[in-house]
Amino acid sequence: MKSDFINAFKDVVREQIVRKNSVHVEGLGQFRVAHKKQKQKKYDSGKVVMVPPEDVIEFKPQIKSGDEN
Amino acid sequence: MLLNSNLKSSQAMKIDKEQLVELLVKKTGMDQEEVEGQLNELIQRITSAAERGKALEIKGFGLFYFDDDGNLKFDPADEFSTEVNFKYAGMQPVELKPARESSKGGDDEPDDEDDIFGIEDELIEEDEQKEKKDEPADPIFGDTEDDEDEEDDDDDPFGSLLSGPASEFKEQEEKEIQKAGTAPKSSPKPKKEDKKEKKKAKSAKKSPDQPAKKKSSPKKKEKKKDPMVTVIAVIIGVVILVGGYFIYDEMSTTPVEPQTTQQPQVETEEPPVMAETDVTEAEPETSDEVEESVAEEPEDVEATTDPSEPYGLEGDIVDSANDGFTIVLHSMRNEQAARSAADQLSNAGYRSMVTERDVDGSTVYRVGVGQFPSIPDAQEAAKELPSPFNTENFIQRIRN
Repeated sequence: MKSDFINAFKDVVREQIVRKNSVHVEGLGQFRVAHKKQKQKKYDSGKVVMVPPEDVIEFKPQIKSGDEN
Repeated sequence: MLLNSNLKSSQAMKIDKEQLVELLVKKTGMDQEEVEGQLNELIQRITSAAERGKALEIKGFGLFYFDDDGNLKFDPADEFSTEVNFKYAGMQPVELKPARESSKGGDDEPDDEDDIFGIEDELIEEDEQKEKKDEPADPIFGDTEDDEDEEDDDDDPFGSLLSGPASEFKEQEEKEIQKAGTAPKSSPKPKKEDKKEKKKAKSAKKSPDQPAKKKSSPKKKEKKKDPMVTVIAVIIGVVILVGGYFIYDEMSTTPVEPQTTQQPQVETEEPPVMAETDVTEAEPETSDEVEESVAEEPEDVEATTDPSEPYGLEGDIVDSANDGFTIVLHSMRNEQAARSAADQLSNAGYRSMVTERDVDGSTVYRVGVGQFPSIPDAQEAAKELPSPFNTENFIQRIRN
């Protein structure tokens, strides 16, 4: 396993994700960006806050434990 | 190069394996077969590490592991998350209003609430009387809140409405405003206090005689209800507090912003590091190809500059300082132009360099000045640059 390759893999996926593209890595899963709208959140204490919107990275796995090996 | 034109479109698209391989071929210069081999090996590594109950971390990317249900999970690294979320970076949850609570218990709770709509006047009166007795002797907030109330007294446009029999509403409102004021107390913002202190100082001058006036209210016991007055006063109180909170929040977050918004521009090409960490019990077997995790992300490095270090803004480029960051002042497609711009800066006494970067498939030449051990150091130095460079710049990692 070449470290150059890992670096490149990381960079390529990051670049694509930042551009909001989803990346499918066959045999592993899919990376994509999901947008979360702002929302109200109520704590148990009764405090109510507005949570700001957010773009998050989601990973949808293609494999489960035991699928391979 | 169909792919290239595709990638330039702003439309979000799927990158499938074929495209991924093509991108990797371009990035690494390896041939397609090798890239596919490496990719499979990487997948193999991730899954086998996860199978063994270990988490595989790719530095600057994230962590792969299997959860309890056997699903492969991926936790993105902080810098990756920040990069993706750059649009909203620095935004923090905002408290909308004081906590609401319908029971009459818990008088001294910080999240005790007010009855905005005047439905529970009875309860509030009782609460109020109780509260008068066991008002907590809060050394900081107890005082300031009282003062705040008094300030409201002074400025209260509805004061004239509250003369005579209605004066006890004032009393009640004060209580409610006070209660409303307790909510921000629980807010994590440390500087809220400063603000209150200021307010306190201001209002303390204004109204030294207020407490006496309050106590001497003749019809204190007689509680009449006018929900509208109560509602208006409470709304004013809430608006003042929330407004203050917003302004404060703005003030407290702006200084941080340059750093967070700049983050996406920072290119973090650190040495590739993969590290496996045990998520269950320790295993005797350790893969010999696993590299040790690098201790610190350079971004996290505190702004501690040792004058004896090779970093700096002026002078000549020091090779050993090329592991740090530089302030990019120009970004050009023409290498010649970039070189001459760098020469000019160099003549002006700056350490200047030209770095090559691939942006959207084409090469740009970035002219940077200075070598800094960390982003904060670079940002600090960037402020000292002559206009317009002090504002038109960004920090990037020097890659060598």
